[in-house]
Amino acid sequence: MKMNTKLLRLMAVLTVFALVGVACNTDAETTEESVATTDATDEVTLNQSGGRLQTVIDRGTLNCGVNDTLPGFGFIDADGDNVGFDVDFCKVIAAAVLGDAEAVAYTALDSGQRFPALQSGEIDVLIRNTTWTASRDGSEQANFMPTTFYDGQDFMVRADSPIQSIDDMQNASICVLQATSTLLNLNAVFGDRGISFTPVEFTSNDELQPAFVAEQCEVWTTDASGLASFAATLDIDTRILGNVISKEPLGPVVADGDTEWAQVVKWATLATFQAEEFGITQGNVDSFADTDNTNIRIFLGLPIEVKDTDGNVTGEEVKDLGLGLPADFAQNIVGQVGNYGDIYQRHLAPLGLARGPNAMWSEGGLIYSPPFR
Amino acid sequence: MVTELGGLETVLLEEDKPPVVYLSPSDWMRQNLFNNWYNALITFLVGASFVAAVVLTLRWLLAADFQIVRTNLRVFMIGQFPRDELWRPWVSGFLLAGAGGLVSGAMWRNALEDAEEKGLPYPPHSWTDLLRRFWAIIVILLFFVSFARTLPPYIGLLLIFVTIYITREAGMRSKPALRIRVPFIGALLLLVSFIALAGTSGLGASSIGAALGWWTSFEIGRRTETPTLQHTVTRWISAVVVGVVAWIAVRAIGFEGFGWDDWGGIHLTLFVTVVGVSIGLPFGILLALGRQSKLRIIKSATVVFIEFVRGVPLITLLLFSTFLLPLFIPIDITIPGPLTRAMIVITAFSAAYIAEIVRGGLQAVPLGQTEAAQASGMSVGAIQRLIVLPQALRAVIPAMVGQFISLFKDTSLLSVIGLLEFLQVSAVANAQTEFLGQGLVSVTYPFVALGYWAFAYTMSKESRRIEAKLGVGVR
Amino acid sequence: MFQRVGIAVAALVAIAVVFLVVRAVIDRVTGRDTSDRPPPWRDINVLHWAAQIVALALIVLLADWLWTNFRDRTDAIGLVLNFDFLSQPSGVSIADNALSPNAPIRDAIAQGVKNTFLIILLGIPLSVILGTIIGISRLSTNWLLRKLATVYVEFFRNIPVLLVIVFAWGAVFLRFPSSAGQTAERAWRPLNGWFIFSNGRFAFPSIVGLDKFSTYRVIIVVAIIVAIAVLIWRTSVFNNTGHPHHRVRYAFSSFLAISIISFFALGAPFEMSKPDVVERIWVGGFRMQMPYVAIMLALAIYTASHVSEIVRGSILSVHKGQVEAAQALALSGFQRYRYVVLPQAFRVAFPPLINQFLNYSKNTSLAVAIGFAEATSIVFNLFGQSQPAPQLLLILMLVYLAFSLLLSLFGNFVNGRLQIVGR
Repeated sequence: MKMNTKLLRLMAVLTVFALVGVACNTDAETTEESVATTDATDEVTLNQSGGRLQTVIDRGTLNCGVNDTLPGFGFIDADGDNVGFDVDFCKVIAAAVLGDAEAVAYTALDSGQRFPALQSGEIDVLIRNTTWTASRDGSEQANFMPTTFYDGQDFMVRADSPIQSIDDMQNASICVLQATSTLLNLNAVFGDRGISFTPVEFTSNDELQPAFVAEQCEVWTTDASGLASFAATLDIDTRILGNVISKEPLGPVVADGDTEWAQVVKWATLATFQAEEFGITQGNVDSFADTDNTNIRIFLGLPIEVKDTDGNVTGEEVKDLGLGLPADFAQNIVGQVGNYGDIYQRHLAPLGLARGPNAMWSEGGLIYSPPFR
Repeated sequence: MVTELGGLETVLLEEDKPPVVYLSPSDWMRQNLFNNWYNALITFLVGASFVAAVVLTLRWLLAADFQIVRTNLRVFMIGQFPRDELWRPWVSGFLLAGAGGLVSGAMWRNALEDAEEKGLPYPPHSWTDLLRRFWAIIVILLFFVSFARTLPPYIGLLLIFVTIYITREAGMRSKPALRIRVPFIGALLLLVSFIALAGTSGLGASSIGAALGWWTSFEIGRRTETPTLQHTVTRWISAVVVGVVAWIAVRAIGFEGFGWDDWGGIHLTLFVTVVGVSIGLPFGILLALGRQSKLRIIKSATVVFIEFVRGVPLITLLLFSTFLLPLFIPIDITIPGPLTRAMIVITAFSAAYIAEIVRGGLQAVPLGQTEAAQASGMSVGAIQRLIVLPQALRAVIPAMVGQFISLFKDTSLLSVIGLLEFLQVSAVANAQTEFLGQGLVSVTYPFVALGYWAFAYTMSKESRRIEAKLGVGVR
Repeated sequence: MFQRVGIAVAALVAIAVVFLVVRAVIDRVTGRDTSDRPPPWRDINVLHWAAQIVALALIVLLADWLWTNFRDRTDAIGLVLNFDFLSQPSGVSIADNALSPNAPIRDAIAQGVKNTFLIILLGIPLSVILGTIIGISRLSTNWLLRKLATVYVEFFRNIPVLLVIVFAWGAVFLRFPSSAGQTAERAWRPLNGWFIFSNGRFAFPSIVGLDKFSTYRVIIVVAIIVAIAVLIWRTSVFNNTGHPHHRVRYAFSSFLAISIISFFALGAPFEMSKPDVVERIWVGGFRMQMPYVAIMLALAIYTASHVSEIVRGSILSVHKGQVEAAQALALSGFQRYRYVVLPQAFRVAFPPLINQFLNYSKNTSLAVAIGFAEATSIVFNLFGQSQPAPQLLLILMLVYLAFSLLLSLFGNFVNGRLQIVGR
């Protein structure tokens, strides 16, 4: 090899090292920069995610994460539409923010994908029969909204099964969904009682229910509402044990760090509770246009009388609650989707689910809304 | 009878052919089924189990309740596409059928005139031959439509067949001037069908702009055999101008549509396959050329990419698109939807596999071709573009079709990440209230299987036909 | 970002200038004649190096941009990018496996990899055997067999493998009788209960060692060594004298003789254990998960359709003259295949077969659809528990790359041994 060629090659190698060095320095600079900008990015991120309400309004559609295989709560009907109790709450938020309950883009998620999709910002709100737990609130960067359905974990067996209670389940095979609080509860409760069992895990309900029907497992455990909806729709005879072993409050979820958006979702959800308390249904909402009840008028965004210090009426104005929502958001919600009772009646009553703890607080249930004033 | 063997032609005379023997049925059975003891045994065993299988299948077919398919036919075909916008898929279907008929007719005519030039006989056009080749797809489409509960789908399918007939006949009778431009017309029809579905969004407008710009460049390039610098500059500038004007015009129409995040069913399956292969093809060719390169950095970079993408299962790449790809998008850009991310990954996947196929083709081109081109003073780009790649790509057409079929089947994996493509509709249908828990998967899975099978089988038969026609692999 | 691009461009220009200057200096110093050297922008050597450096710069820029985006996003979410999570409790329970949900994640992943390996271990030989049978059937003189084999191949090659898997599981295996109940009453127990078939588990008899079993194992090893020695002896007899060696007969019978005699001499050192179900616990015998059987068989049936095409092509590639010569020498059909056709065909078939093995190993990842806990299923499960996705996905991809690499290396080794020396 001639000396020139060798030298050229050496120069080339040194050049490459120099380039890599430059790139690394660039990295170092940008690392320092990005350390600086990370702080700035944190703020930027907060500000940007603080803009989620504005982003949704600009986009004109709400991105909602839902279930597509849970009868009653979230599934796809024969027309290809997303239907269900949770799906209706997506419509509630869209009606509140955008004025159009149909302006929703649904993303079907299974239990493994739901939190990553929320964290990455792909969906604006997750309404997918998700249980509110401390660890999820803390470590999943999730912010839980008012509970729309109070549920508990229960067990279902075939009608002819010899199993009558948890104590009969020694070494039984139990079907359960992966990545749910259900499995954690099972481990905890059964572990405490010293009952060993064989979990049969599935990624989604459409794999689980054929396995249960084919008796690959003897017991199916999930939220009692899910069991009831499947029991109502499966062809086989089943029995729900009534051994509720946990509290499972289900509700909408948004990502941490955006108080404005959380506020919007929270009060849109609460509006359905309040509407039922006031007796405003989808059918009669228009008749409340000239009600005398000031609280209802504030709730519906109707003009109320302004009185001066002497008590004389000086005019009318619409009270702005400062939530970032249009004044008539409650009218849109109830008019286009309905109140809590309407939604429950539409989707869960046909499955035979009694209101139980999901009745209004005035009837002994837990559905309670803070006042809209 | 004439056989073409790599340029040599042999003619087999009638008296050289072996005598045709006509066997009576019992003789035929004795020769083909029972010619020795173990064949007889096999015939009995296999025959018995075959008959049993056929009986079971018929019994299943007659007893099975296909209501689940009937109710969900729309979801199987087009997923969650809004049901009052059904005219869009139909219009798109007509445009595609027209484009397909036109292009295939023009191609047939080109082949005919090529053969006449060389003095070779060419079989006359036969619609029965086409029916025979595409029987699987026709039967499956009729089978699908038979589940429809209203009349329009039947009429629509009939009209699509009529469209194909008319446009193919038109293509076969087209003049040479039109035939040269048929690829562009076909591409424009394709893009208009996309716009019919998705509206004049940025992607639709820019692709139409690009197509029109390319056509302009082609037209101007045709005007002269000896391009001067002025001519080339004019050509490029007018192409860009036409492209931009077209883009603006299309955007200005402002036609609303439904992006592909709303698509589903078999329509989505076909769309993902076509996009995956057509966008993966240029990237695959670039990767293959990179892998052949003597420049070590480019070579190692392409090798690392190809071996990595080919060494992992597609499902891990789809999991990557769901969980990791959003993390690589700049923080101030909205994350693309799940289908867009999946298509990015599928394009990269098919590019890597196409790269390997094209690499085989590149190796099949004799080195003498490159050397002769270099001796003629052609530049590297011209050598690749005019000499090497046409030969290489022609040699690997069967393998490409195989890759197309493979990708078509692999789109079923999109169901694991929750996208509503053809296989997932089966799961969704079985989760509906009225069909839950009845074990109707034994109805929906065979339905889905037939859908996949019909398309894949036809494509593989066509691939074998092309292989035989090109004489690829025949020594 | 533009700042980085600017720095990179400046660096490249600087390198170019430095290179040209240094080259000019070296030329001056060494007194080299540069009159016929083309200018740098047309000099092919310079252009090659320039292209590579520019390519490297582009790759570095791209990697840097992607990494910055990645860091921005993971910081915003608060995702931890180290591998400490591997020692967290996994919360995963695997059927028929002693792994507890409190075991660390790395153990769960290891079990998943082991399960993947088990699918591949049994599945690839099965698919090769099935594929060879069908490939040969497609060339049979029996018309019915030929046509049915063709139907099999044309059917399974044109449907997606995921569909085969979910159909096999959902419409076939799930219809087996259930193992529910204290003694799995409804499960199917052929052969007086020595086998148990249910839709969850499949049990068959196993060997349980009794007194003196370890001694017996040593004797078995010795018997194998003796058998190999007999094999070599008979082969050398054949080479020296030409008498038929019958080496398989000799070796096998000597192995059997030693094992059986020592079995009785030691007084039955092992017994067969019959599987049973007692209070829902499966005891005795050897248990397998039905999803494992399902995925292994489904993949084998699918891959066999591809293997059969390869085998058929390889048999057809053997020169017709070889077949005719074998027929002229009055070799029977079996002898023709065994001594003439298949050895030559196998050499041709092997490289595409390696490709099918790789496809098989990658397709095992689809077991996630039927709930068998192989590597991808476990990682999917962990995703659902919000374990960090980047690290987990990296581990998963490396696992499959390792399998691919090992299978390729093995395949290339065997392929090398198969090649005709001197070509």
